[in-house]
Amino acid sequence: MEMNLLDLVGLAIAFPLLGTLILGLFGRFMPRIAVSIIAPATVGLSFIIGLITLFVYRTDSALIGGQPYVSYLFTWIQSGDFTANFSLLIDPLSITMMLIVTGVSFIIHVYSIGYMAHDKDHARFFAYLNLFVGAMLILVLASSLPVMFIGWEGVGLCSYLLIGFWYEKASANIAGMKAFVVNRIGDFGVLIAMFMLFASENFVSLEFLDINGAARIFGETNYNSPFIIAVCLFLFLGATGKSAQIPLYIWLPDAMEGPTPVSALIHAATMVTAGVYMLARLNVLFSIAPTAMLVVAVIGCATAFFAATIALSQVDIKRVLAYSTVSQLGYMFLACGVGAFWVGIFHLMTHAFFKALLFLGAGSVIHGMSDDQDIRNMGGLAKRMPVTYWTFLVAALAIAGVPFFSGFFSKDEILASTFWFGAEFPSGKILYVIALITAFMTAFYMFRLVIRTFLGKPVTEKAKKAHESPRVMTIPLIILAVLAFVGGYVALPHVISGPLGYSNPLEQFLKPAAQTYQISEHPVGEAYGVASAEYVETIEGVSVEGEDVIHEAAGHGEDEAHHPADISWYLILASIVFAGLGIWGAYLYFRMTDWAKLPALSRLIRRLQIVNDWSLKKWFVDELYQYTIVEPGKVLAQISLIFDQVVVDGIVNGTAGFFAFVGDRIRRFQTGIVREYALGILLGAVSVVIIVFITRMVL
Amino acid sequence: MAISFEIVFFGVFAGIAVILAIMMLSVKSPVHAALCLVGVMIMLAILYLMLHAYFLSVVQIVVYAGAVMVLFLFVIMFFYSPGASDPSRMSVHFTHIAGAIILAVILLAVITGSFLLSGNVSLTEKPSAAQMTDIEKPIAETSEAPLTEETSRMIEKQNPQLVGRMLFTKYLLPFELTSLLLLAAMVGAVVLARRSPPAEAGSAGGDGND
Amino acid sequence: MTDVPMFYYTTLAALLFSIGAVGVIVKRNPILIFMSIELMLNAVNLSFITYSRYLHFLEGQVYAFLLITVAAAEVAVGLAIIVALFRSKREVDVDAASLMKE
Repeated sequence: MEMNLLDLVGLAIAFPLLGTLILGLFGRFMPRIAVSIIAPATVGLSFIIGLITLFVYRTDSALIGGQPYVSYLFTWIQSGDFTANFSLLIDPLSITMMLIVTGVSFIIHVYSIGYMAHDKDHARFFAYLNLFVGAMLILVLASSLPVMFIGWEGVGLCSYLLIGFWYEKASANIAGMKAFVVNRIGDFGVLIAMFMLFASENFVSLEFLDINGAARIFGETNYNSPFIIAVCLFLFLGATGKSAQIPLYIWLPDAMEGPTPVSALIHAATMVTAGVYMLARLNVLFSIAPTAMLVVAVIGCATAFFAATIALSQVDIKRVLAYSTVSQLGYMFLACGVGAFWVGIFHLMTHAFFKALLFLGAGSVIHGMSDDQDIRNMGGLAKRMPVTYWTFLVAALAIAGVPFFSGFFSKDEILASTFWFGAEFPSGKILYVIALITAFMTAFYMFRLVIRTFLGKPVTEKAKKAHESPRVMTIPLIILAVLAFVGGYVALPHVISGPLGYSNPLEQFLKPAAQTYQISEHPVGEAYGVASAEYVETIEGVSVEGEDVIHEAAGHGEDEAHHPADISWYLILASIVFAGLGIWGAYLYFRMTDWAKLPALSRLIRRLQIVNDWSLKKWFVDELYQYTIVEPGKVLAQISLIFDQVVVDGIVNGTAGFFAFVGDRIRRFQTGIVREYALGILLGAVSVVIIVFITRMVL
Repeated sequence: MAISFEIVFFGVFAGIAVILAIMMLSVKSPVHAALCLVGVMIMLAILYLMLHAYFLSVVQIVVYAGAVMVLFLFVIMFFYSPGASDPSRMSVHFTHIAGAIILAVILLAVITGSFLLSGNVSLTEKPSAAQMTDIEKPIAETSEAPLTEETSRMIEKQNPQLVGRMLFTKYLLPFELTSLLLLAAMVGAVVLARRSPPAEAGSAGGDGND
Repeated sequence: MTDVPMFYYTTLAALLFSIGAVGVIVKRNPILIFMSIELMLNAVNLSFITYSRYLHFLEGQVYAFLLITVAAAEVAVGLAIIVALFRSKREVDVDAASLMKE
């Protein structure tokens, strides 16, 4: 195979790993400034390679229209008829993910220089962080499930290491272990799915392209077969673990014990989205299992709603954001579940921007508040930390879904996709309603956070003394704020972009890689307007984006046939209204000092107090798990202990006693006299020969 | 069939070999026993000649009767003054000897039986059809041409060449491995027979098992 | 062409082997035990060569050759062990080499 510039992509993985090696081995002996340069530099180089890859990919005539390119590095496992190549898959989806990962990582690395400036272990921190970027890139660039699993486990490891980064803190250690153990449950699902695919005759290899290709053929005859559903659900189990969905979301809020940049990078922007990425990557596989897709959608929607209710009342600034992350991830799964994979990735991207910004802003606040994270102790920080405030506000507007901010576009796409899904699948309307209510709650809790943190009067002395963070931290905030604002314009809704003659670049770019595959006899996906183009065939006529606008607009017209424009406008209006209601509600609730003026509302709120209490306690899910799983587990462990001591140990000791007795008898044969041993050998040999005689005669 | 010259020859040498072997176990002095063994080996070398294994016959005399037995004698001389009897021999009880003889007879029966069971081949007779398959195969592997009277004679005449060629072609790897084995044996022997360092020897009474 | 039946040779080999085996078991002197083992090996060699001759199977001689080499190696190590045993026990008796509890 001749070299292609796209093969450079391997270097993008190599740089951060090299950084890990250098910092891990020599970081302790290097001056602080050197560490601070090397760590972001390696990620920056990866980002540049990502940009080059994008450019080369877009200009490579052989790859027009989303053709995948596989960059073979080496053969990893070769055993019998099983081969696992360590190769990288370059297609629109992986390039998008790569740019998000390296871009956000780079910004957060720079921010971390300031945030970790006073930490004695900053070299270890950056070594882990670089390792994480490397592992994450393996995850998103891998061309096969086994290789992706390396990255999958790698990011899990880094997550564990970084949550427990301050290992002197017992709670951090416990949180790290919790994350690790919960993730194990999910990983087991991925492994099972992998084994099932490997064992199945219909799937020749575990390369993503082969899986999707085989699924396309397999789906014709085995549409929605139990096997496929099981595989998809096991994969989704893995996704719920990694991406903190019901029922395995419980580790993420605790993961906030780690340093804030870690929360921003791993537990908001990148790692936790791995599950969404995996679903999008295996889009065809999931597409032929609508039942599994429905489960994904329902779980995603439920998680989004549920986590949002918890986020309403949390008082720890990072925990609010953590539950918000869980909620937003739920949105992404909802999008995937209703078949709009590209929308899931779109929201993943905008979420990466604004949630990273929120976390970094929170980090800045925590930094300024001398490590106090309780929002009840804050207030009035806007004046003391203007840059943090304004950037945080941008992110809050984005996540709340206020028009013109990035989150608005992605969330609106999700809501619209869900609505159109509901149009095809009646009970799916419930999903839309819940998603809409969640949008309201999102706006509510975000502005509750903004108001209590930045507005009003300082509540404590600490808040009064809060100071703005250094420039190395605020500049990344500004960059992310810009991204959080403009990030949505890469994919405007059709009703807006269509009349403007403006294409939807992200959708066009991603669609070949991440769309619902449709089986001709089963036009399930049609309702949400996804063209049934083959992975490799893509939408006809699309050459290079941006140059062929008219043709693309025509293409949209085709899509729009399913989407009456007026309904689309109503949908947009609905999401704006709900977001606005949320913000307004938060304002009323937290800024209104004269409660008497609104007795009805007051009474309502009082009645809601119990909800608040429950929400604050996170609906007692941890307790539920404690009493339904952990405590019975302990009882079981006790029973097992007794069983072990009496029966198992009894058997073991009895066996040992028996053999000790027999051994003592047999020992007497072992006289230590060589001649007797020789006699034994001889007798043995003679008896063998005699046995052979006898058998020969008998036979 | 008249008793041929070869059979007489065989009877003489085989009888001497067996007698010497029995003597080896019954003489008092280890030196005498070793000399008996040398005698057995020489007899065997003669029998090898009769079996047309000329090369091995010479090897038998040089390696066994020569080198190996010299080594034996050397060690014996190292421990015993010449003419001394084996001190441990006295304790062998009569019943032991009787048991040993019974064992020997059983063993003999078993081995002879197994030889008989695996078939008897006469050079003058053609192998029977049943034996053909088992026997022809190795021959086919051994010699390039099918076995004729002529090739058979050639094998007899060119025995050393043929064995040598075989050792250096088909059996080169085992042959080379034996050199490794000999090297290992040499190293082992040196290590085992080496005197322990004085300090250890003083404390452990010269433990040589290191 | 020899008239000696193959059976004669194999019987001789069996005899020598049995005598050697008895020697191994009866003797307490390790040197004699070794000699007996050598006798057994020679008996095996004899059977190899016999079959080689009677089956026109030259490999038998090659095996015999390798066997002689092995025997030589074995003697070297075995005698070294005897020397070491003699040094530690001050007597030449394999029964004395036992370190087992009675």
